[in-house]
Amino acid sequence: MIESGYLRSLAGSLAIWLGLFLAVTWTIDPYGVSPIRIALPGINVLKPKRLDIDRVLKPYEVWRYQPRTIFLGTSRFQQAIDPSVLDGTRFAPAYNASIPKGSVAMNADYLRQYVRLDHNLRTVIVELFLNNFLGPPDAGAPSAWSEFIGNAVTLFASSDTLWASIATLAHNVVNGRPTFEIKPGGYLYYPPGHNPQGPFDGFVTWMWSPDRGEPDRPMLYPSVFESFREIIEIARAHDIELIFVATPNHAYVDYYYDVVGAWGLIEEWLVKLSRQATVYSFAQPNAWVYEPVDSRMAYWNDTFHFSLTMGRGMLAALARLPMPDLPGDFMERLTPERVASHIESRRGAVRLWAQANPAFVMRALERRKWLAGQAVRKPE
Amino acid sequence: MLFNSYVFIFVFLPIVLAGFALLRGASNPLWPITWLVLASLFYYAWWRPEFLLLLLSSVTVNFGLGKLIIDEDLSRAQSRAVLTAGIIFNLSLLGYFKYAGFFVANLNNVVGAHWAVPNIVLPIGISFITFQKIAFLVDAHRGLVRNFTLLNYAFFVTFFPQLIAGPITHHSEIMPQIGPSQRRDFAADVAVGLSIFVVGLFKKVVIADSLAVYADAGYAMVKAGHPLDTASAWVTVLCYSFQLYYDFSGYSDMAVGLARMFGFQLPLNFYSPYKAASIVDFWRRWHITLSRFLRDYLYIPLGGNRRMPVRRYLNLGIVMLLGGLWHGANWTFVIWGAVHGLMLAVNHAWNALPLSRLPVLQGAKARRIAILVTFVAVTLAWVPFRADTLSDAKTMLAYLLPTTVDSFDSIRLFLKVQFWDFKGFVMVTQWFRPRELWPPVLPPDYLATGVRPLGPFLLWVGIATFTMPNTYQIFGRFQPALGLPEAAMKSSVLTRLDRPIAVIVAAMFLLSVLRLSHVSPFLYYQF
Repeated sequence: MIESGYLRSLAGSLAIWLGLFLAVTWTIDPYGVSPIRIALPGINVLKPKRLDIDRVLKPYEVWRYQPRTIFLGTSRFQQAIDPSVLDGTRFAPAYNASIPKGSVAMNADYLRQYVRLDHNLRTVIVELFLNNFLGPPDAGAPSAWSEFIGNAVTLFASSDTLWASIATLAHNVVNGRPTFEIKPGGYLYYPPGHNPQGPFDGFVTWMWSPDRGEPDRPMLYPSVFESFREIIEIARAHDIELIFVATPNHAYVDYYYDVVGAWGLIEEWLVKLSRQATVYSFAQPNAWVYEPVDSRMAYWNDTFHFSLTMGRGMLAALARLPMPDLPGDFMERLTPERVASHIESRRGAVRLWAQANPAFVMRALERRKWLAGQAVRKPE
Repeated sequence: MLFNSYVFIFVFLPIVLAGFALLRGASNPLWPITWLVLASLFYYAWWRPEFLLLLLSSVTVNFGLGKLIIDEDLSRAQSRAVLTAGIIFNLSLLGYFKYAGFFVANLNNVVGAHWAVPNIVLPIGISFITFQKIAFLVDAHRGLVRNFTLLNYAFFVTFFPQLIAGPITHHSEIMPQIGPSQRRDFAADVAVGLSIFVVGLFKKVVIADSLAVYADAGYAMVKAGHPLDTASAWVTVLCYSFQLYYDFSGYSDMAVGLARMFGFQLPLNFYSPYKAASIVDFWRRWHITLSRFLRDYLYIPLGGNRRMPVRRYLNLGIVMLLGGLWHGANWTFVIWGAVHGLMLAVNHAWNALPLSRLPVLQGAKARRIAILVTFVAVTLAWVPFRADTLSDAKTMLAYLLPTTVDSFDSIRLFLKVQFWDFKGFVMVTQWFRPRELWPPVLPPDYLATGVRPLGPFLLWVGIATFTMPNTYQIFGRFQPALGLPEAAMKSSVLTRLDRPIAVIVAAMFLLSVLRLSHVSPFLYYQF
């Protein structure tokens, strides 16, 4: 009834199935983590499943690649910073560990984790995004070893890996077109043909939307500054060079700041930050930052996310690499003393821009008025 | 420590099994049982060690009361008093941990008071253990329990395969197996037990957990106040119906398989309940050990079917209401129990009519219709069972009713997208299309889109449920559980465990283990 070698057959079959699983998933390598890196055109070169799994993937890749420089930030950094630009500089090898919707508290937790995982770490470049300081702090990131190991296991040995392998194979064989994916350096690749017009057209509606609380009354949250301070202390404790980067804002966003009277708040924000750390700004208005809206844009993926080209310029400026067509005032070292003039230049530039774009201004003001009307009608 | 966890499968179980294998050859036959009791206590303490004290105290008190009833020369009245004390003790523990918060919250509602609702952590398995211990004391009082030791009693209560979620074992099933279990063919028991465990693991992890995604999504939408189209509502409740069956029966299969590895047979707990042709039949196949307990220790003492029909239906109602409340301290469970009590009463009343015995209602076709009607009734009754509040349950039930033309459109769209528009490989690649979660937040009607192959999956699960043999019919020849119908043993699908079976079981095990961890895409709004 029970074959004498049944348990042995069971163990043997399990070993064979496991071997097959590893052969398939390591060869197709849907998440780009395989120990045997084989690039097979038409089979596994495109990795559509290497997307939206930054929190699982990036701590593992930081541990695996042991970069000298790490970028921490939100989806803005994630989409724009190709660290291979820094190859050959004092920052190399670098890795873009930015996480979409990464809060300041999360960045502090990730940094705490990365100093344990990456013994080669010398420089950390952190994105400063005003929105992260305008709301209550988000929860931090899980940084326990168990979380790290659990995530690494799921990348290698889970049914998702098998499913993603089939999906990767199907996409390479049937579709074959480049698609969104996280490239080996950790940045998000946008396939050619992307049209940013939609997000720009929808900006006004989104910005003054009833779902956004009180968009006309932005407010700094002091507790977020504690996480900022934490990042500085972690870096200091581990002798790590820390650079903060105030990222570009398109004219649409600067106009919003102007119309809601947020310049004082931005000034306070930048003074506080630059008093405590090294801050470089790329938010000065120039031809790149205020690029006219079109169906094809060189420097912007959408209203908030700047492109790889913009990111390349930022990295070139930071690493003092030659880049001929870079605007003259592209990068500015911010000190508490220079913040006021920085703000003044932005305010002046956006007002000039507004005069040149009356259609946008009219739409924005109408929408703002509509939202104010909604608020009045809302029962107490 | 769940059966479907890495630590259980790859650490705890191999160690306990190896220790048992070593000790069963020892001169003292108590050692392997002592080892299993210690392992079971460790297993229980894994989640919250402080509850181990509660378990040990409860075992000691019940053992003492049992001894008092059996060994001491008590009068009938004295024995009854000890039994009453035991029942009060056990129900008090259950009442405090499980129902205190519910009771205070409802009292606040009724009298308009503002007493603080206690937030008490429920010790795992307490509902199951309480029933076992009460049954033991009642049987001791009835003179049905002979001699027993503290070790045997502790083993009967704490044996880890059945400790947390049943099957609810009876002392008369477990205690007589303690001695013989060590003289059985260990390798054969491990082979059979492991195979059954893998089938249970597969049912739980691969089937139930896959369905859970869709069931949870639908109920979450109702909870969040989002509208649900008719097709999505039906998909949600069907997914939950199958999820619950594969989850619970899978867990029971794992328990049966685990016990078998140590030479023990546990009682049958599920026997293709969705193939039942009536509600009465359903309760003979679903959570059989609970039905048995409620019948023997509640329904029969209440008078059972020995009284007038009306009293019988009232008894059924009481039993099912309490059975509902046993599942959880929430009115949703009470309603679920009440609905089943009502359906059972109607079913019994129907059976009493001569009309029900008409030949036209006895054929295979009529049986198929009866199975479908029973399944739909049970599925609808799961709505209050799953919903967080009665209001959510009402909302979900309302979404199920096709009240407008749009309702039928959503069903038509679901069938069109998932089945009629199926274009072979092109469709398959659509399931695998990149950025399937982009936009990252799925639209409310996503259940009725082609984003996931949900329709074919649900169809496959339905076909498997209604046409395939169950675990016990597959392994019938190997006497997998106590109380298995004779026919199941004789018509066993498997007649031997050999290499081809090993290949299939190994594949199921690997797939299940791979499902234990997930790569969860990060869902976020691009801002």
